[in-house]
Amino acid sequence: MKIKMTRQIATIIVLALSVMAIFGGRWITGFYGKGHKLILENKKSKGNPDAGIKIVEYTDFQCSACSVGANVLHEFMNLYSDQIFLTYRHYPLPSLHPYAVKMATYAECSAKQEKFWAYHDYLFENARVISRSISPVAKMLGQAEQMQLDMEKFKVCVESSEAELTVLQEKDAGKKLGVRATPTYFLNGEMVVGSGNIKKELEKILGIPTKAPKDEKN
Amino acid sequence: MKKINVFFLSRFIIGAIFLVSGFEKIIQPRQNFLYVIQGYDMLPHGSLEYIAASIFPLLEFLTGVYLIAGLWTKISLFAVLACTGTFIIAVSQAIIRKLPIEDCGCFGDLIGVPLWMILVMDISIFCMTVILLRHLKKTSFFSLDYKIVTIN
Repeated sequence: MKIKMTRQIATIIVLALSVMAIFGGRWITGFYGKGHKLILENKKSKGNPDAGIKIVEYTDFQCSACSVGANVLHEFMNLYSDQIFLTYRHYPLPSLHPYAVKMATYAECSAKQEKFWAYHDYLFENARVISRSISPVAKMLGQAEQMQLDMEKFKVCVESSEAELTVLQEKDAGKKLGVRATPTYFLNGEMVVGSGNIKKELEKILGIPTKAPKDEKN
Repeated sequence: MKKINVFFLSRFIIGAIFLVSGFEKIIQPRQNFLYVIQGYDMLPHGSLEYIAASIFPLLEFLTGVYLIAGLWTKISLFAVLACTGTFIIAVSQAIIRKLPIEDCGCFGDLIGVPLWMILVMDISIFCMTVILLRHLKKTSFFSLDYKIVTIN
């Protein structure tokens, strides 16, 4: 009986220490996963700023699941543009996608000339072609020219470290919110990971019958 | 020269792996591990995936803690067998189905491990755990289980 009691006490002590460690860890990391302060109107936002549905997306242009997610959001934005406000944030994963930072930097520079969303769509649609081409930079510059961006300013922007710094700062901010994979969304401040899940959540909010989500990884 | 107790050392290493892996997932938003689970496409979409995303990290963490402390060692070792068995099945089917998983998601953000490597690691842990269970007395060296029995 005495042995059993002692083991029970030890169990409770170890369990209590474990719970303290969990809460300590969560406290140190600032309880990840909440992004209420994220909603900002800027050059990488679209939709109705007063909309009830506010989405912040953290994506990587070279990630195929992000491309699926971009299509999902595009469809929803077309149908419910007055009900949704979307803000884009960079989260490049260079260890998996070698051109992710460069693409994000070019997109950031297009934002400076108010052409972000058109360039965003181009990058998602052509990410594979760009990354497999002989000169990805020439391809991206060519597109900027086609979109009639001020090429002088654009070239200065992509060559300066400022745009890349913005990209990396956005990624850091995402990390602090607990973003680890792409695509990650903050739907009215709540974290949703994966294109299938954001679709499901939006369908739920908008009252659309849900289909089982099929997702693609990075 | 003093002999190293391999069984104790293995118990400690397996415990540390489980503790770190579980803790990293626990302090992350649950949605991240939920996404990892969904990537393996094994469970029906919905609440079962969510339950697994909630329970697995906690089970891993507590198994690691109890294994290191050497408390309920036998039960903890069986928990390791159950966990690694599940991981082996999940990873194997992902490899066979050629699912597009670049990183197993086993250690959260700490390290990225490819599927084949984690499969080798899981099989090794599974086999080692079976051996530890067969030599429970040696495995329980420097453990709370051993201390409690000795004191009482």
